[in-house]
Amino acid sequence: MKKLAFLVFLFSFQNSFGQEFFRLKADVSIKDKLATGAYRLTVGKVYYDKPSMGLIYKLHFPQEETIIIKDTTLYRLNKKDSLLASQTVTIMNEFSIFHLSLSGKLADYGINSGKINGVYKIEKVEKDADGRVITTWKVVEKRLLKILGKIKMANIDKKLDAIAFYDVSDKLLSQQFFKDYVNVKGVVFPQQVTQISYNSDGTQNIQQTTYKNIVIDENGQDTIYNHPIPVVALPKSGNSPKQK
Amino acid sequence: MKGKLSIIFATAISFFFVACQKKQYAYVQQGKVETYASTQAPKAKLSVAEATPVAVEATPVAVSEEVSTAAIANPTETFTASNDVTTPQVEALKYDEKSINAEFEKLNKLEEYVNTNEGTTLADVQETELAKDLKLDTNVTSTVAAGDLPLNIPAFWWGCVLGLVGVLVVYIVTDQDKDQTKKALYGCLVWVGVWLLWWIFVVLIGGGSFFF
Repeated sequence: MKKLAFLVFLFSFQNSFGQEFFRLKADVSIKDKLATGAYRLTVGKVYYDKPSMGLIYKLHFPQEETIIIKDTTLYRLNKKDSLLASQTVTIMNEFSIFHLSLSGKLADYGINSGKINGVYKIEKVEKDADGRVITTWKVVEKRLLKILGKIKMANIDKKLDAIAFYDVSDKLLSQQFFKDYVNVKGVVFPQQVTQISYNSDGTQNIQQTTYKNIVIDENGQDTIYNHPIPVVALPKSGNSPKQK
Repeated sequence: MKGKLSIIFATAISFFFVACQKKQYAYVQQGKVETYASTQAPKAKLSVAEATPVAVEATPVAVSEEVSTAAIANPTETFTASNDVTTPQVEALKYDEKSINAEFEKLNKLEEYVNTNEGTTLADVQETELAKDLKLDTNVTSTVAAGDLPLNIPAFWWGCVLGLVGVLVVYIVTDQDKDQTKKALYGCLVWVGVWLLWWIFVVLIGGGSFFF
């Protein structure tokens, strides 16, 4: 009996360390400054459900609408939940900041696991003047050597501070900065993410995302986290859209 | 003599295909080949069928589904490599807070107002001082998604590296874009040509050494 109790104790101890987080909700505000000089402001709430890998944006600015990103498709719904449009996207929600944070893999950007495990390998680790650990990852997958460039990461206290992406000729393509980390129920999440993408003409697009009121593993609200996917009707037979 | 001529012919053809492949790659590197992003940029906007809202769950709705490739603005998005980007004079991994804040100076007031007044839409502020001087772009989809081929790899290379699967990927992802699919097909054909010639070459060398 004592042995059994000991085993139960051990099992529960192990489980407490391997806690799985499954949901994240936050107020989100996304600011864009485009190379054209135009601005974008997108405000609302974001919901991520890890088991279903569904990402839902409930926006109220610029207009009230819902965006669902799931299974390589983006759906746009109006405030009455009617489908406005859909679009195929090459998204992998499992590499989103939400999924990586819930999985505890944001520190290395999930570069060492999942589908891209084995694609990159650490080339160099060094410290910069600010005491940050700079890790350079190089592509080792032969077929991708001529396509993907290196990745550089800066970490502070095992948290990802910045990441830079290069092309094969070591030209900087884009970089992201992760600031104002908070720890909510054990999930470490940056409240500010700034992404700068560099265009071929030397201009740049800047996007700054701010997250507030982060909630982890919220119960209920299943209709939002697992928002029903709208059905897209096929055109009636004999009415090929190409004939229009 | 006949065998030697075949070998010379096969070698010449191999060199020709390899040269074509290198030339295409060089063009991509120099930015002479249009990427999917540049050719399809105007397609990124979604067509909105707002005029006929229908209960989605109850009945399937026929919508204008403009499918375009997009990489979401998330970590995956930046696992990309474009060959047509010139190096900007920027120090990598250095966060210049002042300059970033300056870029958003005009927008910050509007953001603050929208955040403190939940439910505010663009229509509410459009004519106010907050938005008057701002050149506002309301394409929300582009904020969470940006158009490009998967991994920013040109169509030619999808076909060349992944063969018919690559062509299929390009065909599906670009919403049956003929030009892009054709490029992928060329890539695929080059790969098949090189592969076939290589084997012909090997067989001929083997056969030649066997017979002569």
